[in-house]
Amino acid sequence: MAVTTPLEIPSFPERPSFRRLPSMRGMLRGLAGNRFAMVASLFLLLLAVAAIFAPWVAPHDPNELHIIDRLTPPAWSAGGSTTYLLGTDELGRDILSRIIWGARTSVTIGLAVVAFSVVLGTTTGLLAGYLGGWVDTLLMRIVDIQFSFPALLISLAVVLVLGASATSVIIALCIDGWLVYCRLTRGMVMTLKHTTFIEAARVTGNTSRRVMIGHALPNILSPLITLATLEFARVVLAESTISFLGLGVQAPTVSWGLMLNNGEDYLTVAWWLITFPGLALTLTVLSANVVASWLRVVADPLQRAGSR
Amino acid sequence: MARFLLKRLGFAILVVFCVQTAVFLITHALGNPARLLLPLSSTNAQVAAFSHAQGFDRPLIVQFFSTIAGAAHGDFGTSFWQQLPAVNLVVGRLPATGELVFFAMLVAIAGSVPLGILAAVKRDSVWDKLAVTVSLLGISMPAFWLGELLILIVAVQLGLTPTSGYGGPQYFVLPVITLAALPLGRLTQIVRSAMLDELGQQYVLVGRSLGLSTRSLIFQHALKNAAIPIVTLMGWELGRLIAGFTILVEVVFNWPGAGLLAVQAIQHHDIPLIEADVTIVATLIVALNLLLDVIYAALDPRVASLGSRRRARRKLQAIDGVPA
Amino acid sequence: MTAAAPALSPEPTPARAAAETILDVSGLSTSFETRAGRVHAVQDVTFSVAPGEIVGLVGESGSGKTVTSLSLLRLLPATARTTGRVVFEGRDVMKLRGEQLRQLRGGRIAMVFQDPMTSLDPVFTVGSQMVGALRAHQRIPRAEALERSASLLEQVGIPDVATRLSQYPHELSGGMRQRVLIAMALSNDPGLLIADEPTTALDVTIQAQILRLLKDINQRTGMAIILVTHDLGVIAGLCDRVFVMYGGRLVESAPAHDLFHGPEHPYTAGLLDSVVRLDQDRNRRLSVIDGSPPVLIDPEPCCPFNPRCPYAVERCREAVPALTPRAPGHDAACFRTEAAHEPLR
Repeated sequence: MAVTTPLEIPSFPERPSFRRLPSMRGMLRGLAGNRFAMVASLFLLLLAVAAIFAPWVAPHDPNELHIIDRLTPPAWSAGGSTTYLLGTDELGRDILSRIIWGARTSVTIGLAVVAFSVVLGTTTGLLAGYLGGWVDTLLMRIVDIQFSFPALLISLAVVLVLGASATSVIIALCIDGWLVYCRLTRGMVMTLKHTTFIEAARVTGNTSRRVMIGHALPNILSPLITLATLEFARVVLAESTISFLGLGVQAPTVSWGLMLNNGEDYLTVAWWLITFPGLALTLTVLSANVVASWLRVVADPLQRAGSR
Repeated sequence: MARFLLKRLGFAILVVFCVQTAVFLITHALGNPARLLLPLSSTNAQVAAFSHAQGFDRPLIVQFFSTIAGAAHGDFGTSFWQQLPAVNLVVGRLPATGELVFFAMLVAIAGSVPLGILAAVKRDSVWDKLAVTVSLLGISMPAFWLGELLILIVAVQLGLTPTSGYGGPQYFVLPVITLAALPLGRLTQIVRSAMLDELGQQYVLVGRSLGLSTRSLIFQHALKNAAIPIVTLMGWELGRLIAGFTILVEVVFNWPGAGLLAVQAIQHHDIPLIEADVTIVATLIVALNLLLDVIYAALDPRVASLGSRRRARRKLQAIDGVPA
Repeated sequence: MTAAAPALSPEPTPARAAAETILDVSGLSTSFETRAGRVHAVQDVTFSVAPGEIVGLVGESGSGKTVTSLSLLRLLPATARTTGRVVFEGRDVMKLRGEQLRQLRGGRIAMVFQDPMTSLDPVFTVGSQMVGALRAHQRIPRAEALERSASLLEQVGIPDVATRLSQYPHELSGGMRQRVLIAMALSNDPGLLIADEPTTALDVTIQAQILRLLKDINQRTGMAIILVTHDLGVIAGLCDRVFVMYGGRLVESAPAHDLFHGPEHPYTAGLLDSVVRLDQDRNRRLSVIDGSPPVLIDPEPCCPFNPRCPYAVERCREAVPALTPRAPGHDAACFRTEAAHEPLR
């Protein structure tokens, strides 16, 4: 009863013929698929337009006082006026115009922090991944330590020392903002390092440095864009947080966080002071999150193939 | 196991040291602290005198070691603002923060675990959509705005709760909900993805082929495996609450906790108090991480190496690209 | 060569008697809805298995053999749509509901899978997983289940069972894990074991041991086995009958001996030609089947093998050949060999 036979070798190279079903699918695809992402992208576009063309699209100067019209409710509620579509604040400043100018602040700070962090983070990440050794160990230790850092408190302390201003906020948020990009880039480089084509390049005496940079960067681009979108949301939120605490952007610059801070004192008499800037902030963060999730699915061919 | 924990402990101490150093550098090296503390109109002579009195004119390295040495003994100096030992002030505020964080995490876990499991098991159902909505809103709503909205609607319009302050159970409702929103959103998302991931594993198919009940497969097998990333994320969320998000909620609701104290310290340019607050908060987070490592080792029999949690972190990122 | 006591075997000679079957599959089709279209992974598959028989289900990647075996126990995800009849011990599996289906799985029909490394739950001990498999079907106390598990592990040739039971899967080698999985599959004395590529992920020496173990169990308990594999060597050593699948269809079914000596389907013939044999000239070039397996999205009504078939004629592109008898117990689905009626080799 021999089990082994003269026929010894498997007849074809076998790959699993039935792979387990894709287990992960973009959280958002379940909700509304691309339509949802499209609305979110449109909102971000609107935000960009508002930020760039604020002086032209805003119906009023955001700091122009109309003391007589102070605390005018939005146009559609009793006592509202079409002059001030979303009402006015305690000094009679037009809420809509301030939201539009606030968009400019948020977008500027968001982009500045993300741009700086991306450049610093990718460079250090490439270095860490490429050089390895103690540079890598040191950078990864910093990344690990950052996990336990009370980031908001540190940012607040930085802003305090540098003096409250938009520039200080940007610096404070850059201090720990670059680490995520560093980790991402380094991870990608480490993965690539062990792929055959890099090893082949090394064996054939090519400068692996050129191969690494030539191949690592394009490979990292799509996750980088996704991460940058997510980080944009985080930075916008952080900026309004610091400004809300009164330590960030200062008047006459307009910020949604600052508006929410002022509005808190008039909570009982004027609901519109906090509702609209908060809504603008939430929608911005929400849209960036939605777009990032969508990008993640679209940009990742594996996930795209996996999700039906 | 003992070696593993010892290593983690060493790392924890290193982290606290780094936080201290960072705070010291920010407060002492970026500018003369005396300038921050004194009114803008102070003369140079006044600044010099004050610097000397406070020891700010010593070499940085000397100041650094005296700060670290003090901190190691739990002495952060006297608060300029309150004229009391800074440590006592912070420690006195911790219980209020602790209560807030505890109940918020309780709400977040109690809401997210069932919802996430339900969403994963009944994919594309109403529950799934609810889970997606909850997590998106939780992630996107700034805590201070959510807090203000809740005050506006629940406290002001409906008059159901006090608007702010600290006291009996009715004072807890709004701050706890506000603080719970973010971890609720993120945990729901991670529970859902982790469960989906586990339910797609080969061992679940094998379990089904062996006739194990769906209930046992979901709640015993898949859930225990999913627990590893879930517990990790719970730990992070808890750390994040302590590290930052209570600050906003405490400010909005005028809650007498360590977060409000930190903001007050910053507003009063009270360097010893800032140092004490940040260091103590960082120590708490680090201690929490250490505790997590222990829980983690209990959950996953494969834990024997330092790399285990890093592996879980990577797994988490693979699941949902969780940003740090 | 084995220690099996023949007296224990209820069916000493594997039944050729087609009258008695333990499993009867007719017209089984399974398809999946995908974004690209409906994938017809299994089409109109009909076969039967006698008690105590070992049959081989052979084919290349994507031939539908694994989907067929998962369809038998209805283990496919909700996106799959399965039609046809699967009658096991007189009951139609397709009509079973909830609890009945659960009782069947791991009860009278058990399954062993390809990848032992991921088939066990990593966070439970071997013992507790075995106890779970037993207690899913039998109302016995935990302690008794543990004892039974120990004796099952001994049966599958695992030494030092007490230690093994308290270990976690990651502490066991691949071959050891596959033995554990076989023991779990055997725990409720199934009448049929579906072994889906049970040795593919294992080292060659371990492969032989596992196959021998399966054969032993078959001899000892009379449990029928469906061995799903791409490896003709495995089939030749173990199986009584062989079903060859190609492109989601059954293209040939024959007693193992007949298949190896007189294949009636060009695909089977090509398959046999591509196998390395020790009894042949070592300088002979291995032949390969040119082309690639068919895409199963909304397939044309034609012989699935025709694009790669050296014998294909016009008719092969216009209709699907049915399985027709060539010899007693030997069926093939090919227009050319049906007409010519001459062996392909």
